[in-house]
Amino acid sequence: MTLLIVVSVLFGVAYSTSGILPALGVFILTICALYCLGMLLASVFLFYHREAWHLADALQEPIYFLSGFYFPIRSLGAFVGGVGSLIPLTLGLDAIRQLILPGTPQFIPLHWEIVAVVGQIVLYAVLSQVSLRYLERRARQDARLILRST
Amino acid sequence: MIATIAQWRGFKAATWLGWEISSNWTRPLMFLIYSVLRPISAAFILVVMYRVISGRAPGTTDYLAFLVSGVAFWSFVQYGFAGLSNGMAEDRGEYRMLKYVYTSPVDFYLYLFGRGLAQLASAVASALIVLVVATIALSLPIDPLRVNYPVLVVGSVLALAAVIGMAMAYGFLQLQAVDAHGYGELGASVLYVISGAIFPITVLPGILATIASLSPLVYWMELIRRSLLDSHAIRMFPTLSDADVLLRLVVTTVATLLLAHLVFSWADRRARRRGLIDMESNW
Repeated sequence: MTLLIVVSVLFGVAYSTSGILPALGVFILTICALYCLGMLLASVFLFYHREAWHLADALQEPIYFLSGFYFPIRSLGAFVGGVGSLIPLTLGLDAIRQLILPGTPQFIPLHWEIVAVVGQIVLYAVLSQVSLRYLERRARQDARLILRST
Repeated sequence: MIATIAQWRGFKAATWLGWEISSNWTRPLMFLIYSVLRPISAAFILVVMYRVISGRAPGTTDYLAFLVSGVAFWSFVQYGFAGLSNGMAEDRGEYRMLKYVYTSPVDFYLYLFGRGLAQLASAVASALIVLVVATIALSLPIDPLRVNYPVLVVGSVLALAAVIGMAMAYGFLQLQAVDAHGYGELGASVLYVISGAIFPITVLPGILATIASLSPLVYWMELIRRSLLDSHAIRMFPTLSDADVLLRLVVTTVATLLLAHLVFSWADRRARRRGLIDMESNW
């Protein structure tokens, strides 16, 4: 929040005030979807021990790239943008920008982005439960729960 | 002779240990893939940002080549500087072995040099792949048959020595803090701004541009671009010849190594007095 305020004041960024509350709603939905995706990926850590550490490290920059952190996701084109949309942050960020920064190039219409993020919450929550149960069972069988991994 | 062999064995062991720790004992191929994903994405983030801002205006290829070559070779600093300085904190805090290495017969400088050199394989692979992928994908004016390899290799060896020297001194300074993990990235980020990796140092405010011109990394970046891109290179020092830039690189490298040695010795004395080398720290 400090960063947002300081940089906005320094560079004179103007926001649409009417979009702030809806943007907060989209932000909460996006965080929920990200947590569900995080739970899904957590099971990978149980299973791939040492290599998962590097996987998480290595995926950081590709996620910044694919989710349009530094540029509108539209500039990556439909295919790459579509692949990037599997990360809830991509659509969430695009929706937030549409709400508070009118005129930002949009990837898909706002209401479809919200529907997609809600769908991702349900999908990733179900998948994470299934995956965690399966991998927990496997981890117990292979004695990976107590493996020191870093 | 026996002492030299013992030091060589220590150096080899340090290099191998550095590789195993930095790769976290993963399979080499997996580690290589992971090491490459990150810089490629970082390079493409900058490329897309630049393309969005410039709107594909004509004449942008030369600046893209400037950007990509800087980002590709930056992996040497990222791995060498952040990797080694973080490694010293890890050796003390996580693996709790720094005190044993410090008191062993192997020269501590040699151990750290080997530990830092282990990162070289990842850095070389990363730089090569970013250059190849970006050259093909963005049609950059890099012709492998016309690259000035001697200048590229000499410049990179000098810069690597400076980077490892700076990392040793910075790493020892880090040991003064209890929770020092991640400070390596912080230091590398500062160097990133003043190294001319992504923009010419002339765009920096006056005092920062002066500080940047004292760093060997700027002359290294200039030599990399001149050797890779020849006439297409955007020059940060258009009035200097290749030999002048190389001379400045040599002078700044020697000065950096000297300064690093002084800082290292001071931090070493202080660490010994305060019992910082075997201190229980983070993790």
